[in-house]
Amino acid sequence: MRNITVKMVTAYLLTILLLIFLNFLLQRLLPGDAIIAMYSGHEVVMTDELYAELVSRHGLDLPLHEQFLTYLSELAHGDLGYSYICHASTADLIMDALPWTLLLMGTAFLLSAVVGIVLGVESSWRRGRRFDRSLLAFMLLLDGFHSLVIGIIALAIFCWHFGWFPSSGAMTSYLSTGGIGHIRDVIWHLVLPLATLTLSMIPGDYLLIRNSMMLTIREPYVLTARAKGIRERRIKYLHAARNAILPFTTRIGVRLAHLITGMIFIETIFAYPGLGLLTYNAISNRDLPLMQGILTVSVILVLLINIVVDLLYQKIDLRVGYAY
Amino acid sequence: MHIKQFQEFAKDKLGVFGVVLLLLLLMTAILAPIIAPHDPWDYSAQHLQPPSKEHLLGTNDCGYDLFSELLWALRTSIAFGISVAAITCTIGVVLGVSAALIGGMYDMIVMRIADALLAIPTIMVLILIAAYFKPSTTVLVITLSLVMWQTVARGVRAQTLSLKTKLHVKAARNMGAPTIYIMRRHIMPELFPLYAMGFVTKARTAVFMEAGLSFLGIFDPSTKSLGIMMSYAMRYPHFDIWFNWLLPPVFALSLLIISLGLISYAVEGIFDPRLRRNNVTPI
Amino acid sequence: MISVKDVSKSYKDIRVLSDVALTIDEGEILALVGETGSGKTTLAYLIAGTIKPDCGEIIVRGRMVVDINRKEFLKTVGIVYQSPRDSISHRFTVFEAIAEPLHIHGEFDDTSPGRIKDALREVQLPVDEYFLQKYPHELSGGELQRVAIARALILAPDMLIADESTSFLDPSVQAKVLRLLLDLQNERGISMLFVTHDIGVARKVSDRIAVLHDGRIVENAPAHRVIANPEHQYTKQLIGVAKGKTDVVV
Repeated sequence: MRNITVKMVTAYLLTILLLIFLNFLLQRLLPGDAIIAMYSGHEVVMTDELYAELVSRHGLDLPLHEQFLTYLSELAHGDLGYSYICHASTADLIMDALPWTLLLMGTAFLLSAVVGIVLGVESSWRRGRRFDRSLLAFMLLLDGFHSLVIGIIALAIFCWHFGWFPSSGAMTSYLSTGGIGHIRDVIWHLVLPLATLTLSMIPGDYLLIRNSMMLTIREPYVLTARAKGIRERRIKYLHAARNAILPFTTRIGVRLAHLITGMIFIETIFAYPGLGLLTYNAISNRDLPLMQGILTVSVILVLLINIVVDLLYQKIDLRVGYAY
Repeated sequence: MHIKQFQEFAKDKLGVFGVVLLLLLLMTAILAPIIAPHDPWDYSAQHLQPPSKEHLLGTNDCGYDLFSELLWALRTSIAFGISVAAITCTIGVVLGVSAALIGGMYDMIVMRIADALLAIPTIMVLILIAAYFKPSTTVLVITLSLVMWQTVARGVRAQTLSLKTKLHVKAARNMGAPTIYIMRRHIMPELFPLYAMGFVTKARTAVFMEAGLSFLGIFDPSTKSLGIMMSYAMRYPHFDIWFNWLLPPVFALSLLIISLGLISYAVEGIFDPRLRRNNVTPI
Repeated sequence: MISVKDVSKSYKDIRVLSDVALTIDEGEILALVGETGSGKTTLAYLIAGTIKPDCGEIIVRGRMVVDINRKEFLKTVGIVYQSPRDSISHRFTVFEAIAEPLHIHGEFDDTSPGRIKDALREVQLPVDEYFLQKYPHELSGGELQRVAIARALILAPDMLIADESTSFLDPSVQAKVLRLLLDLQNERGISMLFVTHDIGVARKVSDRIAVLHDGRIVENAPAHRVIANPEHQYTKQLIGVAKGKTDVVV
């Protein structure tokens, strides 16, 4: 138990170190003058005063190790830099976008997990039969659609053609109804991005659960439960699925990576004002400090979720305690 | 691959379908310079033309022939997928096997880096690096490979560790075989299914990433790419161009990813016969 | 030919062999008898030169094993393992399996196919192309163990180590393989170390029997004397157990 916690913590510390190092190095590795490279080509007028301010702001006049320490202390204070293109602090921009992303990602994560688990369990329970075979073929097909593709098709059909849903934004500005009307407006904007993101996540979840169930179904305790005459649904979800879901939780890192990738594309397509769209805008404007801030925040987010899941996993599965 | 495994694979209809599909796409991509009716960089045609005999899919806003552009874009995607998969697998196999055989501190460091990479959202790193350095496609291929090897390395390492204890490996050692011989004759051939599996899944991810990143505008806009085609087509939502400009790259990309996905699923089934979906055991 | 002097070996904190002394003469068959965990396999591998003792020395024809080039020495020892299914890679054909020692020692040349066929004839297996290209899963356990024997003998070793070589086979096949091993040893006049847990089998095949118990040699005498007059209590037990079951007919 203690061993695995130590392993975990080392892995996460290493990740954070890698990230900080990458961020730090990127700023300094730039060919030519970092400041000019970062701010050239924009509407920023590079005066001597601005240049001097930027140099001291980035601590570029200090020796390298002091620069690194300064960078660390800024990071510790939640200072992620300043976007000269948006004229706002990077942290503020990210904080504005983060709630929408969390809403979108969190809901998609839960929805796809529930749908994936139920379909995976039912499919494996009827394995080899028509229901299973056609569902499997369908999922393999769906898995072949890039989240971009699903998003574009949904956008073309429901926004452009039918005009049922808004093609951008997360809510209508200056909406006067308030209260319930406001909530309905938010949901209305959320439907398409959420549906496409969920749809792009389901095949992965389904295939994972189905495979894992195929192995669990043959375990003696499932057979025993059947022999004891316990009700079918109880065996399926209480006995078999509970164990089949374990590998699901350990792959949380991979799933999150998928989710984040999908999120960036889908927010871009539907112009949903979360971290993904912010990233896209940062790319279009070459807003480097903003990009670095987004990377830092998203990695920290992923790590936090990983830590929580790992701790939960140890609680659920006592086997981990002595299997290592 | 071992003969038996080939036969196993041939039994999987979906897998065979995937292989056929992939071969067709591959042929198209290789023959693109011959099949393409126009030079995809030639913008002399009239712009935004509907499909005609002259231009099978019509032309885009700059007067490029869309059909020729599509063929070249498919070529880019496949080349990108293959190169990333090859480099990623090579890194993964070398690190995985050496970690298993050398062990100790080296093994620990490699595996901790693999863990760390697992938690970093690859796409963010790529976007950041692409934005800073405006790298060439080659550099992007290498960068992507450098952050994707961890799953291959893990699988290879685990398999090598278990192979190391096999009696036929010990027997060869007892005959005086050097490590290189053991790697070549006893370990590498056994790893082939893993290598195939890794190659297909990584190629799939790479194709996925290439389309996505070019859609976001990270590649040089003059490159022919499915993602770039889609992103340009998206700028004209109110013209009736979606079926001849937007759908073809969407369709081509999906076919490519589907074929790779089917193959990887079939290979996985060979790997773990317990997952074989056609064998129905009564319970 | 080979003498083992006061050899000890431990794995981590567990002592497997303590102060073992043993000799094998030229052309002699020595049976090493002991139960699982007695250290008999460890002792066999020490003699084969594949592991090193913690202390003590192993001398072959007057030279210390540690002084002989390892690869050269391994050439002079052939090992036949317990399970041929595990000791031969399932990816090798019969031909490739027997050719493996030749490849490892860089001796594979134009004469090799002939040598391999000779070796197959010696172990009484077919030598046609069809058989040479068969894979292990197409052969029976007995056939495969013969292939393993041919592999062990292809480099014309001075000593053959049979590590429980017959215990995985069916009783009827067991007898045939045992007889084959004896014939080969007799024809070639090489020494043989026969490792087994079955003192009944040991009596049938060997000139001399050494009994290992808890990492020590408790008995070391000509086979007939060990069976007729066991000195150690443990040997008596082993003989008692062996008598209780049907003997292998040789």
